[in-house]
Amino acid sequence: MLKKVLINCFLVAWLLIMIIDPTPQVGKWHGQLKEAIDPFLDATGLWQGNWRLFAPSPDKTNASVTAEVAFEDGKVVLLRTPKWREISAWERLVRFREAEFIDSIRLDSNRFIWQNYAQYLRRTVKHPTDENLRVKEVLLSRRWGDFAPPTEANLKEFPELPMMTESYIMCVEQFKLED
Amino acid sequence: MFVFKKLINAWNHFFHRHEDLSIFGPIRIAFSILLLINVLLWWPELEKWFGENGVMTLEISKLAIDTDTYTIFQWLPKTTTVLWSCYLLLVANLIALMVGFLPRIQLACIFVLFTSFCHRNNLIFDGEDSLFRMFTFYLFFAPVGKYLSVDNWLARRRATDSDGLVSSEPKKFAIWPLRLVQIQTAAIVFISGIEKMKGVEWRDGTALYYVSRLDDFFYRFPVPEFMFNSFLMIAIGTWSAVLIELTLPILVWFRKTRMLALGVLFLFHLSLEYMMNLNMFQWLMIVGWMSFLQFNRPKPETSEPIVSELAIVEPVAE
Repeated sequence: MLKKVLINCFLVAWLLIMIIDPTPQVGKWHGQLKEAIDPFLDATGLWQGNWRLFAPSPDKTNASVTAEVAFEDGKVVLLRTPKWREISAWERLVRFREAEFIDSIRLDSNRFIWQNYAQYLRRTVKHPTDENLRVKEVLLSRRWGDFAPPTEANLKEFPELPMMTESYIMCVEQFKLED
Repeated sequence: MFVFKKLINAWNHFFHRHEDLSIFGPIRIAFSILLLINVLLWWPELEKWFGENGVMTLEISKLAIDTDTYTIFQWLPKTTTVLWSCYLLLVANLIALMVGFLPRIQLACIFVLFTSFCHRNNLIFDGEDSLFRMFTFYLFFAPVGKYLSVDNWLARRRATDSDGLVSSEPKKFAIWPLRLVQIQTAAIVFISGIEKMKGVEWRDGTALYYVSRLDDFFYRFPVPEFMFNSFLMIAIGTWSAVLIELTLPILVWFRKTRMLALGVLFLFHLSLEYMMNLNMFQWLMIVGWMSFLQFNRPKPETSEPIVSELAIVEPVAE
């Protein structure tokens, strides 16, 4: 009997959490309830986030990030986000986390990681011919293009992708070579 | 009072009636295979994503996620040995879960370790990883080790060794863990449908135009161009997705419409899997929908031949 009571308490609590946490906010009180249970869900790893799945509006931007790694002899190694449609389905699966990472770091809201990422590139990118040469500078930049609303003309362009027309330098990290 | 009693009865019938939950055997195996593939794909770049010398130090990673979250990596030494040990332990837990060896212990370890990896670099995780966490949590309460498992095989062997008799009766368990999987799966799709109704592009029928132009998610395999280069076809595709998401998670609960709803949902997820690059998400949703296959058994027969035949047998004296 006690077991059943405990299970019922758990079920009621969990169903309430499922109603409050992942559902679209319907009022101020709903937001307050979400905030109230948030620390518990975060601490226990039971948070769900939202289940929008391309809603309410799908993304309308394609973006890529480029890293220019300059060595002390002036040579520059370019690391670009791949054109995802040009690589195989298997490679896309294997590099799924990379796509997620690129999609995250390009955002200004994640600018706190740019410097750390540049330092990671400094440590890991090797000079193509001489491994002893050191990295002098890392420049991170992003390119993006917003999709125009559909027209008879641009609909016919499929599967060609809209052009990326905008660019922005995210960060430039210079390193002392005496280190 | 009468209504209250009816509600209690309905609640008990819905969550507490005992059923043969053998569907948890295939669910456990499919779930652990998917999570194992997901985790194995981290292998080549494990230190890049989660190491202290990777793309983010632990300190920086804390800025990318809510401060209330925890990861075991914040208490363990920040070395590659520890990182690889945790990773290999997670892989071992998943293999043990797949074969059904001490599944509850494996699920507890998987939940802690997988959540710790998610919280260590939240930037590379998305909704499917949340669903992996949720299913791990639900399966912990389910009798997943009772079917198609090493545990079950060992138990049967022990029983055979001791008295030579093994019960062939299907085991029955309270149904509520299965209900949690079902509610979660249906809620995801239904909530997504509601969210879509709030977007102009989903209402005016152009959303699929934007989705089909996304470089990183769409065009995993070639798709028929006519489906994405005309207003009419894009509108049909867009509204069909919303219609499916708003209706089928409800229809799947009714016996008469369940199989049709499941058939359409399986096709829906498989077609998305073909067109889109969303890692394991579509397969994981299919595993979730599998939980509804449990209830489609033949109805009990209403005739009574067994009772009448037994009634005429004379009791035999010892």
